Amino acid sequence: MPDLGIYLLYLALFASIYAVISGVVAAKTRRLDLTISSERAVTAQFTLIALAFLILEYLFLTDRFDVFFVAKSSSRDLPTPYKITALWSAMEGSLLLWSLVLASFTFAAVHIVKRRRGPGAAYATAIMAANQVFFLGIILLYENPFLLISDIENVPIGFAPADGQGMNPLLVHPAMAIHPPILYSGYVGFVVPFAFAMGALISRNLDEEWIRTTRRWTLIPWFLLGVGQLLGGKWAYVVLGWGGYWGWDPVENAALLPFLTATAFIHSVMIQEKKGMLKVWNIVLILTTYTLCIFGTFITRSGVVSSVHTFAQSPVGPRFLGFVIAILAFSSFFLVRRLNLLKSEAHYDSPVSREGGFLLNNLLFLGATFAVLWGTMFPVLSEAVTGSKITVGPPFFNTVMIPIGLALMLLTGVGPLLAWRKTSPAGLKRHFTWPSIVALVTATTCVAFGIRDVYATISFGICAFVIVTIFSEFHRGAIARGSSSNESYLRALWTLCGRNKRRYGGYIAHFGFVLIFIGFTGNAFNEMREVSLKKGDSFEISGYRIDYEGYDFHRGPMREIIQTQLGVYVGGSRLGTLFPEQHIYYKRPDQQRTTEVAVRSGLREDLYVLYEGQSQDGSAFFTVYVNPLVMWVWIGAWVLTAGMVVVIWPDKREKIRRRRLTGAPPQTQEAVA
Amino acid sequence: MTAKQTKLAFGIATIAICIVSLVVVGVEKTSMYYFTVAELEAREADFVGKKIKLAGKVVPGSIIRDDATLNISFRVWEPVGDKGHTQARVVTYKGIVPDTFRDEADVIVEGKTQGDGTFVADHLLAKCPSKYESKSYEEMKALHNDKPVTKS
Repeated sequence: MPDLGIYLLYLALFASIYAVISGVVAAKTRRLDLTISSERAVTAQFTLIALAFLILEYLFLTDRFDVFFVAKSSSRDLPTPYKITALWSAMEGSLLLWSLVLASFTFAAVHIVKRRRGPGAAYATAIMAANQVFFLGIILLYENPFLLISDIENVPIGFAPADGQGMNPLLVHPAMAIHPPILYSGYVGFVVPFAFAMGALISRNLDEEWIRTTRRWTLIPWFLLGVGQLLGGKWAYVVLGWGGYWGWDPVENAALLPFLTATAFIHSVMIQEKKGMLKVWNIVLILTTYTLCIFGTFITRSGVVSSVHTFAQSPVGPRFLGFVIAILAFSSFFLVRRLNLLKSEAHYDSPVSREGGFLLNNLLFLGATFAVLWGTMFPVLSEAVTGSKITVGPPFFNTVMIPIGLALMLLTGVGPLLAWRKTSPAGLKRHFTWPSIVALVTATTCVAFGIRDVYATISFGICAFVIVTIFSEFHRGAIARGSSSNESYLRALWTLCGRNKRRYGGYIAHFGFVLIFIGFTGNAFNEMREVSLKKGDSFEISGYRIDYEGYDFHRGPMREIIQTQLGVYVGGSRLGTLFPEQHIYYKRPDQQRTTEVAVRSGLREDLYVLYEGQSQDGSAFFTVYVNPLVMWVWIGAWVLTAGMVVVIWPDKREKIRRRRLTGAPPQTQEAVA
Repeated sequence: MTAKQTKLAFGIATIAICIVSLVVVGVEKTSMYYFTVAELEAREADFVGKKIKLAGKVVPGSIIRDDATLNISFRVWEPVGDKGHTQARVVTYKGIVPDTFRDEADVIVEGKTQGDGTFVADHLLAKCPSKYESKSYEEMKALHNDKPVTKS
């Protein structure tokens, strides 16, 4: 069975190589039969990788501990759902998942854009397949998940753990089960717009077609990357137990970087669609985004920057760096060669215009990307240049990113209301009088209620400003529609969103980001205390009184559980009981311990308690956090999701419009040639 | 260049300069040197009273903790060659320490050296290099050596 997995991967590798060659030749000769042939190779590659993936899952589900990878990442007593997710809990399997996601995106993209075949699409097929060749090569040469223990040289002969070593208990969590697949889909998904941009460059078909083809293909990975990060944050918050959800760790930054450039891209693409401007810029953005995706993989898997959650050092690190350099060289070469074809069709008129807003948006996102990249790589660079390692941590990122973030948030409110080309002073006054008043009132109220943090006050003011602009947009639109069509207010609101999905879905997504920002702002007011308590002791933190009421001890087959009990009081009345736990995995060689955080979540704040163990004299250690507004981050994520559903939802009217625009889909031999 | 283009270039330059200066100021205000025990020994004089990061190994048996006040003191050194090590340095810290903090653990502490061989830390990170990756073969063997080993 494991052998079969290896054979399938080899076959998939050959199919991918064939897809690269046939795709390139098809694009050069414009032969339809070869185009179709390369598309079939993509189907074959997808099927083969999916089968290999299923075989690996089967090996996990049937506890085949003679397979080294299964033995080290699963165990007989792991609950079945986690046997499935154990596949991507370590390097080898996670690369195979990566490869499968890449194959799925390639398969879907190739078959969905079939209607618009042409040299550009054929090159795109070849480029996506070339990426697959790289990943399959890495898996087969360095990180093969199907190897038997008996195949590995430095394992003693005859050694096989009878019940498997087990997945790291920290990873046994629902968020960890779905966070990697979603994040990978985000990373990998950018291969599609990247490939189509490159295809357009190479084949010189640089009209807006590639942008129209790939807009949706950019939104989906963009969204998945964002949600994947939030899920990772949620996992860190409830499992790792350090009281926060984002720590500016290099691996987190690695996922943030392509998200920032992709956010810039999905905005500036609108200028190209509407005005034919920023063509070079958009190509640069999408090439950068995909390069940063691979660069992020390199950071995560090479151990080049020290991080709490890098995989162990592995020989694949340098290969990924090589791949990053290859992508950069390849894409810059074609970009420079085609610069003359990327002339702007319109000119920029006034800074107070939609174009100006988008331009500022792009500058800020690019600045943010630069700052995060700089901070992440600074220890490595400083060591290379000066010989001593200089580190920057969360304080650096907060210093730089808070002002940039606030500026971007303000722009979220202002930008969408600016007119194309030029906004008149009267228009400015009409749109921004009320939001500004509400913003000022909010900020003043914050100060009056004793908030002394300058950034927090500004942030709440800006968030209020943006919320008012968003709601007034919906309101204005509904009133206008209602009066012209005699629809009721709600009905008008519904048709309005349905007919302008991109616009109103975008507003909803913006609203989600405002809520996430409100959650971020709560960080300014976090409180933390570390205490050592004997049974019956109590202590106070920001208005709560907490009593230590004792603990329970339970020894299970896998772990020992110490469950402590804390009573929570506010002003003398009991709010509830918290049960923070510590689990000791006594069977593991490292006696790994995990903490089960007890959280009392509310819209106002989270009370977050960790039990950290006991001293010899029997007092218990607790770390207690009060984190205001955290829940708004998760609520914002749901609102953002809702906005994305509205934007991506297939639009019949748009399809008809497009068909009228482009004529019948070119599917015949003549159309391709 | 038209007046409009000049204005545009000027605007872009202003924003770029703002962001770059933010980054520069951020690095100057918040960056910390990272030393191992041996590296700090060599350059100690320049860094007394400055916030730095120090990496080393906990000297076995050196941990003294007062559980009521959460005060901890321990010594760190850096292994040199096979058996040797550098001079040990006393570190004091107040707070709850992670489970991974024990004899021989790799630690990174953040704080100030006092110039007299002691280091006052306000952050402590006990590194467990294999935290997110599986154990080595030796450890797997140790885990299972009480069971009959069969090759399936």
